[in-house]
Amino acid sequence: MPARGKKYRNSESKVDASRAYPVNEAFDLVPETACARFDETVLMSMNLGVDPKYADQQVRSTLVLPHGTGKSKRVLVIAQGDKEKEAREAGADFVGGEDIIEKIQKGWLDFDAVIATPDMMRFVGKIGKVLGPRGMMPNPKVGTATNEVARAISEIKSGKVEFKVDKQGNLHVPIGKISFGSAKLRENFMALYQAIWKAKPSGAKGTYVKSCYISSCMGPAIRVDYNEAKKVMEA
Amino acid sequence: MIHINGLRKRYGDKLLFENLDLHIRPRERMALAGENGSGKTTLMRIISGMEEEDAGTVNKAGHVRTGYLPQFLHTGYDGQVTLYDEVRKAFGKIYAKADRMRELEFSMGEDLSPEEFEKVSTRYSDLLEELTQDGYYELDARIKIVLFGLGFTESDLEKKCTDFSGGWQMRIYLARILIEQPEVLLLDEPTNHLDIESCNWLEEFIRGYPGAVVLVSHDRYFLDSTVTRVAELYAGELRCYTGNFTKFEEMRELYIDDLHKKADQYEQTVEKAERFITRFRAKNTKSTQVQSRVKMLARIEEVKIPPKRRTIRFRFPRAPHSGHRVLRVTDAGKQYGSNIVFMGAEFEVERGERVAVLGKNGAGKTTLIKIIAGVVTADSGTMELGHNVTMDYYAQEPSEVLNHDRTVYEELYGEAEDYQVPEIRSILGAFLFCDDDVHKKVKVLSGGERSRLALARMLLRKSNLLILDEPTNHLDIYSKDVLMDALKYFEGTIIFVSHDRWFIDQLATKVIYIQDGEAGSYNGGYEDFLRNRARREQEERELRAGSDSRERKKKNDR
Repeated sequence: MPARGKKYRNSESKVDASRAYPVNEAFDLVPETACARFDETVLMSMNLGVDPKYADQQVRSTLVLPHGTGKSKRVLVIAQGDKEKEAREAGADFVGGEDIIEKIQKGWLDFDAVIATPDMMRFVGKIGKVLGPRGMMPNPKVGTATNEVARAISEIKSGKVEFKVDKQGNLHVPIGKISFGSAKLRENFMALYQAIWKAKPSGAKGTYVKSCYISSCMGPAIRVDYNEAKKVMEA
Repeated sequence: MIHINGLRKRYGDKLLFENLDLHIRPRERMALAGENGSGKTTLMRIISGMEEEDAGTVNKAGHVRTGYLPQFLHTGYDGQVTLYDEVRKAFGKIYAKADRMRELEFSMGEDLSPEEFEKVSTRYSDLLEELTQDGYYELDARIKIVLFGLGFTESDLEKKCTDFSGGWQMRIYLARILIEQPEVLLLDEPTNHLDIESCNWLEEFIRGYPGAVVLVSHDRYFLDSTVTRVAELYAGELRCYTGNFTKFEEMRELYIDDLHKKADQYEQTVEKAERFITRFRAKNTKSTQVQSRVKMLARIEEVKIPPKRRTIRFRFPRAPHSGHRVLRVTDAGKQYGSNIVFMGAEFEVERGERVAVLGKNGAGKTTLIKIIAGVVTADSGTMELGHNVTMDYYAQEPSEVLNHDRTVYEELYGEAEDYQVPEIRSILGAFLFCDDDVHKKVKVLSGGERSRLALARMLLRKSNLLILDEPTNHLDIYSKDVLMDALKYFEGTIIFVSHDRWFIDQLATKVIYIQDGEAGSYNGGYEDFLRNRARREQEERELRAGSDSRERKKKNDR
């Protein structure tokens, strides 16, 4: 175990690791455990009872968090003609056609999300090797390869998050900043929790949610009573 | 993952194994041990499905794929295919999916009805997810890690496969198998064609491999550092031992000792019982006891001791004494076209020295050895042999010097000028060519057998300078021990190339190292040489770090 600093040790002492906290209590505790000098991001981590090796056990979806993520995303739209204009008006940070693809091929990567119109996908394929590993490849399922450019931009800008299980069935999703306050964070959490249940794949057998934790990014993890969270969600 | 039950295989009248059971578990690191010709390769081929078993079953779990690297390879690569393309074939299915995705990208832009668009985009999303799951975007990196680890360079990627030498073509094949990442890797002597650096890399790779690995290797160092279980094929039976190779040898010895003890006990018990039976057979008061002893004899199981292992045994003939200085090489250089192999090689070899020639694959070790042996002439410089030096040369591929149409006996008889038939037969016997084996044609011999024949040829001529190019390739571990023993007792001088670290370590008293076109010599053993090199590199690093920090300081002061 690495040696921990006194701030962290102090935060850790506030959390009972053996206890699963009800949602309200957990979110009251999170701001107290944040110890860094910046506005920490709050993360939710979950272990799901799925094996993503099988196609019918994938968990992948997107949702717009009610209060956003607290981060501003730089959106690149690859479109031409009318759509280009529409994108600019909708507030895209960068808009371009083939010229911007060439720029990306040369190494330009100052953006966080990419939206493309279907007619431009043939050019986007050329930079698949660049966007793919960064998870920015436009995808119709996620709503980033679409003709409704303005909606896609506003969704991303207003805090759209994408979640996807890793090989071990874990999920890690940001749900906001400490500065949001407990109430907003809780609402974001509940929206996400609901989306995860909604995305439950047909092939998932046995217990779906196996564990659930929230934490500030520099602080200790707080175990959440996921059964109680489900009851709250259903109520 | 793979269950083998009651396997039997027979070649002609030779029974390789019978009733063989084996379970290969996930993430297993297993070595198959056994002497040359005991059926290791056959067993691997059966597991990989390249050969049919006579009886028994090989059950594989549904998702299990096997990747088999054969000992000898007839690759027949397409003349136009580059190294990179060839290796990419390992991911044929994934690349096919990527091509399909490209097509969908094009059709998305066409004038589609909403239903059609929905269909195309769903398929596209599925493919994108599948490809991300398959690691499509990391494929290039994965390919490069393996290729560079096996000693290929960036400039090799675009070279045609047919432009590579045999050893390198073998590596291409190995690279392809490693990249495919099958659940079970079956490697038959993978280290034969690798230099020491690549061997080290392969060791690391195998240790971290996510699937099971079954290895046949005659490199002790390699086995010791990779395997955790050894299965020994011996006299038609398979026996598993837990632990690495050294542990296996210890445990095997204990096991055989134990068997001997049990066999003694068995004999004693049987003898005693039989004596009792003969003595009291006719006595009616003892009839019950006699009967019980008869029953006991029928019940008791015989302890079978496996036959003694056959190993080659020989000593090099006493050679005429040579002068003190055996060889002097001055300013020797060689180049093939524009490719400079080495320049300005200078060294001396004295009587009784065991000189190891080291360097990466393709560094020019074989070229240097061939120059010394007189097979190739140097472009510059001189090479003087000392007084009364007679030399013998063992080529890297023994097949090169053997006549494939002759029989084993003829091959030796043709070389022996003043040898009688019994002498030739006894030399052949020492190299395990007994009875009708001597009438086998060279072309049907196994790799190990060819190496043994080439070694046997060397005994016919009395020489005091042995030049050996990878003599341990294809020899099993036990034969290697005997060769090592014979070389240690040899009174003359030896210059050798080997990739077997154990062999070099045991034998070398001097090292010639070829690197970046330069050949340097070092007076000392292999371990000593490695230590010295590591120390020098460390010093250089420190020196560089020191001058860097001084420069930084100067800049800051300014």
